[in-house]
Amino acid sequence: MNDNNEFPKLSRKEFKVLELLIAKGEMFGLEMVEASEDELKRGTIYVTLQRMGDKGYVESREEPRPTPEVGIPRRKYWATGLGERVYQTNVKAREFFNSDFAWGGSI
Amino acid sequence: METKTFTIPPKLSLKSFPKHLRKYFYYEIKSPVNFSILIFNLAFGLVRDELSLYVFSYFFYFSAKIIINLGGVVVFYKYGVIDRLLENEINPTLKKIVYKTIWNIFYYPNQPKIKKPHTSTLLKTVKFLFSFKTQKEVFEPIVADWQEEYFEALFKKEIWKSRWINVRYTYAFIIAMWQKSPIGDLIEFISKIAK
Repeated sequence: MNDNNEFPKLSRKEFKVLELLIAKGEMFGLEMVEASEDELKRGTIYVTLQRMGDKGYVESREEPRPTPEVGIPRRKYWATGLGERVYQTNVKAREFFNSDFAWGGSI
Repeated sequence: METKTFTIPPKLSLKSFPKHLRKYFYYEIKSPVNFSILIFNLAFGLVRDELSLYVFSYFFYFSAKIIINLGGVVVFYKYGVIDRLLENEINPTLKKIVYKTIWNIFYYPNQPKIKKPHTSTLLKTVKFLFSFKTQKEVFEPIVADWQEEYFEALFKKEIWKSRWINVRYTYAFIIAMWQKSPIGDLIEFISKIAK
């Protein structure tokens, strides 16, 4: 429940991340970068994901590398229920904003 | 994303490792001092896991070399060979053997070149500057992706692409450090207010 009654705004990047995660389920950060067609960048994706994780929109887990590979384990992300709700809210808000009704009929 | 990930062979042998990859993986061992520094780094976990397999194999090789040659010198000393060497009353061949044994303790010929992996310094910097949470959630995933793409390029023998990947990810790493810095956080905060 949103106690502070603030509309949960999403930035362009956050919106794209949630769009991809809801459509495709669990993804690695690099997969999101490649699927986003240059909207998401390698340097900023994980900062964005960390911020979204702090807000509760996404969760992640470490995916250990299969043997005999060695290296740092990669992180897999997925959207939480809150993240999905926030995404749907933003989608509806955008649809309403772009609809004729919001502008009082066609311009 | 379909990737062919490169797997480091489990054999503890430098020769089994492809030539074009060796220079990315090794520490340089030039002398006993350098070797001691390497052992210190290993003991304190400053060497990344992917190196330790190879480094330990050379640790045992060099330890065995030092122990055997030191043992040789002790045996020579016990049987008076060193005294005869000092008094110059020694067979020339034996003299060469004794010199060679002593030399072998300190000399490291034809060393495999070992360099630190390029991400280790960046990760150490991040460990110093940022919290454990930020390191785990922001910077280590960048390095994991870096390794993924890098090894994939090397596996396909695309050396120039692998170098470009290094440049690209170094830039991405710096951008992430900037965004996580206090100034980056301040800019994020101001942009939220502005919205």
